[in-house]
Amino acid sequence: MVANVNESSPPRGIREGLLLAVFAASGAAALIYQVCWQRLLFASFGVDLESITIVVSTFMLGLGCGALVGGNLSRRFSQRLIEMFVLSEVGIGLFGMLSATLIPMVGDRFMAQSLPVVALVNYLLVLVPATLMGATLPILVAHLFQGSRNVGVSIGGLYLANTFGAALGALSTGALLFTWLTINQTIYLAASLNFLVALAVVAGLRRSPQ
Amino acid sequence: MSWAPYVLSFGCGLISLSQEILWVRLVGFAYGNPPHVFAFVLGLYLLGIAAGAHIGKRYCRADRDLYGVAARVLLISAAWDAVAPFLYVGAMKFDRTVGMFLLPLAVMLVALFKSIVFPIAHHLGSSNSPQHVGASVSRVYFANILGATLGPLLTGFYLLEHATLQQSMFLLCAATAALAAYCFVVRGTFRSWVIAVLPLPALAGLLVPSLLIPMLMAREWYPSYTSYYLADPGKVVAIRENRHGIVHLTSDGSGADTVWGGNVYDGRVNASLVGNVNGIERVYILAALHPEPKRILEIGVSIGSWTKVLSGFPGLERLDTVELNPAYPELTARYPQVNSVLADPKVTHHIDDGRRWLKRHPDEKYDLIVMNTTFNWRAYATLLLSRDFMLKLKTHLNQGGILAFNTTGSFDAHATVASVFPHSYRLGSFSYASDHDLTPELAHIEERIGRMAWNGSPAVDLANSEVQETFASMRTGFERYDQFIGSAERKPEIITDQNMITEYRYGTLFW
Repeated sequence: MVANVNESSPPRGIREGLLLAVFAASGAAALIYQVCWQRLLFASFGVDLESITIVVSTFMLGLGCGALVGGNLSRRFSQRLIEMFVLSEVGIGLFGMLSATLIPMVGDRFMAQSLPVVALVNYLLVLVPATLMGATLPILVAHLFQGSRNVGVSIGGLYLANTFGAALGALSTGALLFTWLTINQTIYLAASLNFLVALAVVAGLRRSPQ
Repeated sequence: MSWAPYVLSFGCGLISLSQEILWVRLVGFAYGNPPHVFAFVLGLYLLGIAAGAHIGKRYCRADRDLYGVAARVLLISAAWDAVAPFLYVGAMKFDRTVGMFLLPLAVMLVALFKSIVFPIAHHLGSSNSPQHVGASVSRVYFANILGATLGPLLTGFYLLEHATLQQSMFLLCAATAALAAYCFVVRGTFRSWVIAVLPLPALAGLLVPSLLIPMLMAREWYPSYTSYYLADPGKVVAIRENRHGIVHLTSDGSGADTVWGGNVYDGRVNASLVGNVNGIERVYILAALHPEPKRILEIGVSIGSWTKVLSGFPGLERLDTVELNPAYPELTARYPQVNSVLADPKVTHHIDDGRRWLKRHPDEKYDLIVMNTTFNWRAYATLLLSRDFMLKLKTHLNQGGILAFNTTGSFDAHATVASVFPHSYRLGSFSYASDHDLTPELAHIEERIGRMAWNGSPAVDLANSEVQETFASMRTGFERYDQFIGSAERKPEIITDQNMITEYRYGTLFW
């Protein structure tokens, strides 16, 4: 689809701008989740540095696994990059919706276990959505590279957009969202962002030939 | 295949995420750990990363000596890593507002320099083949994420346990310099001895006396909370830094030294009603409110003043204490006023999170549960003040049992406990809640507190006028919920794990 864009598609600049904007929104959602999940996991598994460290590192490891998976998929399905991105966003949103009840439920079951078990459970909880989040970067880089042919430029732009969105997500969660919303309401807001991102990408490319 | 791009990507991820944890700790300490600090530092850090990635992208567009660029950027980064904490702390010492304005610059630049290298590493390590670009990008990205995963683990579990915050910052500064040296070597213009030489200045910084934390111990930065703090806490007599946090002690020469947890007032060393500088009557009254508390749970021990009082309750069979930071019992050992609790066979000390400990001991029941809770606006205070936790605590109380905790002045906390227990009261900042009316017990204050003893010696001299005045203030100051709740400035709300209102909606904004 992406490689066969014709005159009926939006101009490349608009397409790239759209992708950068939605990737920024995707980054914002990711960091809203991270702050919310940390809070839920702390409440469920206990507050101390072990929990905090485990949550931060498993989140990062999930992103790394996602990067590998996304890179592999982008090579194998180079004609389906945008579809994979949309599916990833929908998957993140669905897990986000589920996480509001899943994390406390699992925490209640495993809180009394030993540190390695708690670490493993934390990892498994965060693995699926973080993997999907991590997969989105190489998928979109591969997509943009088809236009720019410069990896540094492609990844720099996407990384900038995604990270800028992530920064806004983190700042707004701490300074604004938690002031007026509960943790679950904030999670649902992030999930809505994911679904909006998926919808915007589908709508933005609706005139592209299949 | 060259490993250099992966080493660069891995190193930047490891150092960068480690430094983020250190800056969260530094800023959290500076402001007494309000809940916004984590998200605030994280947001600034990400802005720095975004800006750095944008700058790095420009280098990739030009035909440049990219290893040379990376080496020079990392050298500048190492220099900033060494200087930034001292600049920030010095600015805070000079003027809190100046410090606040300098903070975004300090944090963003720490992140920015390393993230300039990120797209460069990608450019150096990625394939130019359209078929393989996704996979090659993912490998360099994975190396970065692997570093970012290991960084918090190494820093959180090991570095902060064995080094001070300042030492940890210098070690990471040296690591950045080492990465710069590595780039010079890969570039081929410097000999290998550069690897050893470049990090040396940063490593030498480990010898710099600890300045960061002592400089941040000035309490006059908290005008809105002056009533909670001491005008002159005196000189610092001990500092303990470990992975759980930073605890320090100050002395004004009175013998009742002050304890600070995370740079916030955390009690004083005093277990006596005579020379009572820490509102210790709020725990003594529990000896009167319960006719015979045999089993007591204390969550949050601090220096052990409250534990000492509870250990003297008549008829006590077992006192379980739960404290997260092992530095506290170490410091308790210094003080003869309280250190007997460490060897008391009736007292069992547990190092754990309060919620988790209760979860791990679902069948333990108590006559008294006591929490000298930290300030309600601090990060995670909700987890001890919420209705969810109160309901949990209720299941651990025997019939007739009492929950006592410090609301630190929050009417929301009083309203929350009143939503769980049919009878609740206050004395000073403390709340006392039970399944029955406690006011008739006030008639037993003198008799029951008079029976308190430590090693067979009475804990209280009933003939002392100060003691009698305290008893009188207990009787007059002990108020039913419906008597005092009307004086709240706004309609009190129920605190839940979900709404976190004392931390966010009604908490303090540190900026």
